[in-house]
Amino acid sequence: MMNSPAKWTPAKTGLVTALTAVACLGTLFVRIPIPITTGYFNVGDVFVILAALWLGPTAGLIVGALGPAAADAIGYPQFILATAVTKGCEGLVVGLIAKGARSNSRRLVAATIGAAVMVAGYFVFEAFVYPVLARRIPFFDVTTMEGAISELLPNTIQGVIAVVVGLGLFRAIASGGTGSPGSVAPIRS
Amino acid sequence: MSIRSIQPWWIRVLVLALIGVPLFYYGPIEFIGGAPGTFPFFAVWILFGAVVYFMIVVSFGLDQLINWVSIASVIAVLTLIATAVVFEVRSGVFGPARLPDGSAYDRIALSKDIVRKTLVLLTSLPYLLAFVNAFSAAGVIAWLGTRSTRATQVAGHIVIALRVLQHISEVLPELVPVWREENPRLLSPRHRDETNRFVIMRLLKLLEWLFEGTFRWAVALLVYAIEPLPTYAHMVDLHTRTNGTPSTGSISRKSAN
Repeated sequence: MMNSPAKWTPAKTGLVTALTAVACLGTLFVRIPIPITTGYFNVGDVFVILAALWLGPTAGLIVGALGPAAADAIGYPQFILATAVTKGCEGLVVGLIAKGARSNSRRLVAATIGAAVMVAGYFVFEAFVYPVLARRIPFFDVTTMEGAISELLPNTIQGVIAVVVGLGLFRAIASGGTGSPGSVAPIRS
Repeated sequence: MSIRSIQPWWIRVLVLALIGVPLFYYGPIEFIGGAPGTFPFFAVWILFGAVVYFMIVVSFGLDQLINWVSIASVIAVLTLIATAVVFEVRSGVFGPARLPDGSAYDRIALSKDIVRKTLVLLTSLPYLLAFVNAFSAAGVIAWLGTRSTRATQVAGHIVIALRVLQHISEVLPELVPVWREENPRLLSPRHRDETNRFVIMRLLKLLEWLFEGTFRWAVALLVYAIEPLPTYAHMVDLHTRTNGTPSTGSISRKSAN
């Protein structure tokens, strides 16, 4: 496992870059719009959780903050701020809780708490932060309390999918690793 | 004149940034002064698309343009289908949708929305892929490697990040054939449980297939993305150990693939 590498090597930079790009693509490829908030449902969180479980909190933070926010820049620029902060926190929290984990149950708890952070983060931004910002900057006038409440369900479904698929991908790709970012794990399924 | 031949590199960055100014039209202009009107919006984005496509044909060739536009098209079509399905299902179950300002999100609003988003996708994605591929990883390591030991170490990180992004842009067009190989008949009835007399159970079978297909696709995407990483890392290690005397061919596009 590569949860606590002593040194940030170029190979790890490559892996984080790859996961950031993949998180961006995962967010771009499956976009199901939610009209009342002008936002959209996506599966980018899968790769944020995978990055945090596989490479630790710093990588989770970077992948979460950059990948999905880059996808938002294409078509949904209003959500860049909320996405970068919320998903960055999601990756960080998952990585911190799962750091050094030897059991899948702890990883499951970490991923579940991370998904909860994502749902709560978007709610806070849409219900409180954006309406306050919108008083000065019309650009952020995209959500209301009603919209934030109605987005709780799709965000929860998104979180559940991220936990299940993220853990599945981690088992499929990362768990056969030898501990060095330079040696990419063999594919077992 | 190819964008890749512009020297020095920072003038190339400047030229690419100037071409990409309309990217800021959709967001920051709104940020400053409200949403742009329909005609200026379409005029700017169609012109931007023409310039970007021309730049890609001249710098990377027609095949590369087709590859990148095909990816943008797949994403756009998936978004359109999802948007239309959600709109119809939502309208059928909960009644007409409303936008945050209270106005109705009817079929006309929906059509405008998806045309705008399609245009943004079809132009900005090829532009971003062209931006990433306009720089040479070997060139970056050669430039930074001649400065100091510290710069060589930094160069290692920059080079590998750049090369991984370029590699992903190269394998992206392969992802559609991967999906087609796994699922040759796409959303055909064979993915539904026709023997079940309950409609909901037939649909659940379809969802099961969709979930499994997405999972396999995600694995393929990851495998493609990280496949060459050990090779790149080894090359960068060699450069760093020899204190920035790169043999420019070793991590270049051809040898890395």
